[in-house]
Amino acid sequence: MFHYPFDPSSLAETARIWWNLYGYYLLLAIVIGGAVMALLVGIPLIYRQKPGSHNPRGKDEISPGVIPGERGKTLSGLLIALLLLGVFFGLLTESLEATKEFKEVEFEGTVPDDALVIQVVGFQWGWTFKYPNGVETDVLIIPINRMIVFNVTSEDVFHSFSIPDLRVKIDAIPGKHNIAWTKVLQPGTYRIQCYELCGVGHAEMITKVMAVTEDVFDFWYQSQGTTEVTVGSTSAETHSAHD
Amino acid sequence: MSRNSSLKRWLMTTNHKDVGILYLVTSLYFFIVAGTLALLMRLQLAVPENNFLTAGRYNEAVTNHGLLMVFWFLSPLGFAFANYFVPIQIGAKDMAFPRLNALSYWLLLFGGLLVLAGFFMPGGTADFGWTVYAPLNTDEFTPNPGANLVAFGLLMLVASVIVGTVNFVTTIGLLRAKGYRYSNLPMFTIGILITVLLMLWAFPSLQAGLVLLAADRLLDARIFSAPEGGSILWDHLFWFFGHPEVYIVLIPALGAVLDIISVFSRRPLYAKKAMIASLVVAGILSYMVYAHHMFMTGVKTFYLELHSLTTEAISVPFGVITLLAIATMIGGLIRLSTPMLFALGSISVFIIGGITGVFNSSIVIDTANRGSYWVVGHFHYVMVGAALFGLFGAFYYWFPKMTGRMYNESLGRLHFILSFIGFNILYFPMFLLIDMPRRVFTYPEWTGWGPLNFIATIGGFIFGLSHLIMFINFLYSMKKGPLVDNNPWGSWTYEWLIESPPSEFNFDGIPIVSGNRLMISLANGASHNHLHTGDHYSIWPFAISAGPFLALLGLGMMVAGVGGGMPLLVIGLIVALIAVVGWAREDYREKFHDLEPLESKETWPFNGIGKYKLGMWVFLFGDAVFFAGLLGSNFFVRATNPLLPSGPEVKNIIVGALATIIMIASALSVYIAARATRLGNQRMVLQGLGLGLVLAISFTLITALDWMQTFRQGFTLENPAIATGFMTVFSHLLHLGAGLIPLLYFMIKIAAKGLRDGMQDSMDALSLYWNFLAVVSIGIYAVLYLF
Repeated sequence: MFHYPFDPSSLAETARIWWNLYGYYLLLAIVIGGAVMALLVGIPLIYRQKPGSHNPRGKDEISPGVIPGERGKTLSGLLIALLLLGVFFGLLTESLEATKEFKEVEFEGTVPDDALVIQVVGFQWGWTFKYPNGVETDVLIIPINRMIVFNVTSEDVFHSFSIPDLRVKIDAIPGKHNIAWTKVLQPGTYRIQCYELCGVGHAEMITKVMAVTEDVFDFWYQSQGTTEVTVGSTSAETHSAHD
Repeated sequence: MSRNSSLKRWLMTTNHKDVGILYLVTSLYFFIVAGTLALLMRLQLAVPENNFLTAGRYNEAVTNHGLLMVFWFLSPLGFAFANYFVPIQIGAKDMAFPRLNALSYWLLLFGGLLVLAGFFMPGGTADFGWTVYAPLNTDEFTPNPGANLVAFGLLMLVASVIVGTVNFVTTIGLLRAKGYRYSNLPMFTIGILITVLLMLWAFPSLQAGLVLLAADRLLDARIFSAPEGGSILWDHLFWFFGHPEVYIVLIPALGAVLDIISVFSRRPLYAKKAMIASLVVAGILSYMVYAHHMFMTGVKTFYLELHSLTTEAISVPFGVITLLAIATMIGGLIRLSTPMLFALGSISVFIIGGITGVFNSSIVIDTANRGSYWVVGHFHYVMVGAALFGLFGAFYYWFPKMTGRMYNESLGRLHFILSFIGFNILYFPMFLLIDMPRRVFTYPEWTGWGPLNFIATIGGFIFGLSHLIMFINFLYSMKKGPLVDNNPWGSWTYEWLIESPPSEFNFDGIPIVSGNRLMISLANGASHNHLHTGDHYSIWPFAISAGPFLALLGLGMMVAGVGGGMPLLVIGLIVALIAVVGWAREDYREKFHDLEPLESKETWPFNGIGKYKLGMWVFLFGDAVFFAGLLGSNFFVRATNPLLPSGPEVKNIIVGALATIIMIASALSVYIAARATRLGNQRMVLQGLGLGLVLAISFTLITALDWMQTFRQGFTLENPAIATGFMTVFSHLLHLGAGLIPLLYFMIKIAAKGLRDGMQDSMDALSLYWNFLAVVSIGIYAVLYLF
């Protein structure tokens, strides 16, 4: 039922970093959320006042016109806060660590020498991909196992460039060049789509990326993009985008 | 005021409970409208490649659904209860400014009607999403004439919110019953106080954005469509407002939920002071987290990481509140009546909404989440789940107080069960649709999103239709429900000590808090009330809102090329003018008296400060953000694009200095007039005001000539530095022009009637306003001329 891989970490380097962090968040969310939810449901059931019967467990401390007495230590709020801060500090450390790994290219601009830098231009409604050798396409073709750097901009309105399966996403903003990267680990065809409302064509601003082996890519690239490219059937994750 | 259902009552009321009911009915109306749009969207998305709605219509639905739900349903529903119950809960007979309260309501209603009118414009209405991203929001990309009306409607809403904010802060600040400490107030009132303070600083940022957008759309400026920074500028202005807005919607509901949990557990709130502190901390933090909406925009890493940290941090106070709310129930006698079910339901979905919010703090996780259905699920869990369930719980809780009759409990529980189940079927699948983009009108079948969308649509209809049960229940019960006594829940707050529904001025005596007892002192006899009866009707709040409504509608129609726009614009302006004069005449005749002397109220920490002065301080704190937003925009566009001209290249520094000095002199004159009021020197007051008037007009003329010179040099509004500067100065002059109305009013009244008791307070407020405008003119000089 889900085309979307629950654990995408085998698809791309970006997806692997994402999954490591997301899994950590998800685990804590389920444990903490589950515990709090159990308390929320359990306590009212335990202290529920059954109609007609007196419940010795509880007491009535609310009287009309009387400001309820102070209850509980204000300090307890601080203790809970410290506890939560501890959890969040752990999350934050992980998150910033992942960010560092993720954004080294995007923010520090440390593009490896062998990286393939592709100019991505969003427009109403589609994408243009420009390669260093001057080839322009509307379908992205990239080699696997090589650092791909996207230099993303827009020629009209605010778009958001994304290859969701590979956890690549960066806003395409007119007048601004934003950097995203990925390193695909296995051949396949993946969806590219716009993730910011950009007008009536927003829903159809879809294209695809074909991640192919270096040999296939080189052949296609040398031919100035004139040859037909197909993705090998080696990938289990191949999608049938654009039949 | 006669308690009847005549048209006169509803059009002219200034009573806080009547205004509350107007808010309630209006918000529920917009709930039905925006809910219908939501169901249309769900129908369209139920199956892949559906053709039920076109892309354009879908985008209009998604945009107006968001705007109407947030601004005209959720927030006004919270403020319906705030209007009705905050004055009672603090022990007041009405709001501090009853006419302004009515004005807030009419501005809200007419603003909403402008948004709806957008649908009827040829060429369609706003379809750029409720976040109104630039440059899609400009007329270049969205020429739809209806979008102008939506922007006008939002401006009226901002005006409504600012007026309401001033009123609530002043009311809670000055009109509490003697001896009523802030920390003893019920959480609902505390929540409203924090909410209005959040509104005070958040909405002016939106206002600044809308003013600049109006320049883009109507004056051919190029601020947001400028390739250098236009998109990012809107992001900053919008999200500085937009993120606190989430808490603005949530906190009134949360306050009501906490009170309900306490009452239905028969236990005091656990560590209430820690809860209050948490809300305050969350409120402050809420201005510092907004860049998590901008993680993918490529702005400075440090800025993003800082907001990543604060976003994690803001989960802490809400986590504390949630756990303390649960702790409150321990050892209680819990009754699971409908209000309590909704309160617990609200907390339970808030846990999910809150925890999914923690995910949003991570920049890396955002590479999947940003712009996806996961986000849609998250914020609906917070805004629909926590806020709507909480406010509906409050509705059930207060229904017997507002009507004197009990609703049907079985139908209430059925409503809760169906809406809770429907809600989760509707929104939980969205967390699984993490790769589906938001706001797509359809999707290809091969994406595999079909089944989950179909399930969500089923949930949507269960959720949507379940509310019919509530409407039927309330409509039936308000006429035929069993009569109940004044305090069916055994609650402790003031509203439950008085009759149901409350009398016109709520209390027969003087509310006083002694120790931990809420009392209504009859020391001066019940006759106290009769001192203040009299005509509290005024048509001018209605008229003063209807005027701009007609004028803006006319303007929108003119831009759209629809006939009849011009006459409508003229009629609207005439109505507005008459209304301003009418409003002033009521003051001139001193028709309205304060219901309660401030000496009998708890006014800490504002002891000795009059209500006009306090109200003006509050207003100016918000207005400062507005001008900071405008000047900041000018600064931003110039910092982003170094090619734009600097101040001295455009403006004449000498002329600017002269104008600024004249403005300062004008403010000093008005200040002297205010001081002279205190001394009782009528001649000096009139001279001071007169000089202030002449200097203000001189300032306006010099500024206007200076700008004409700028345009003559060949600069146009296509230059974003010029456009942002021009809109700042234009807004400043509009403020000055509006200030001339009270200034002239005081001159006429003092000349005719002499200095009177109570005038000191309002003269102080006028002086404050004038001094603020002088400070702004210094800011304008510094940024536009010197920088």
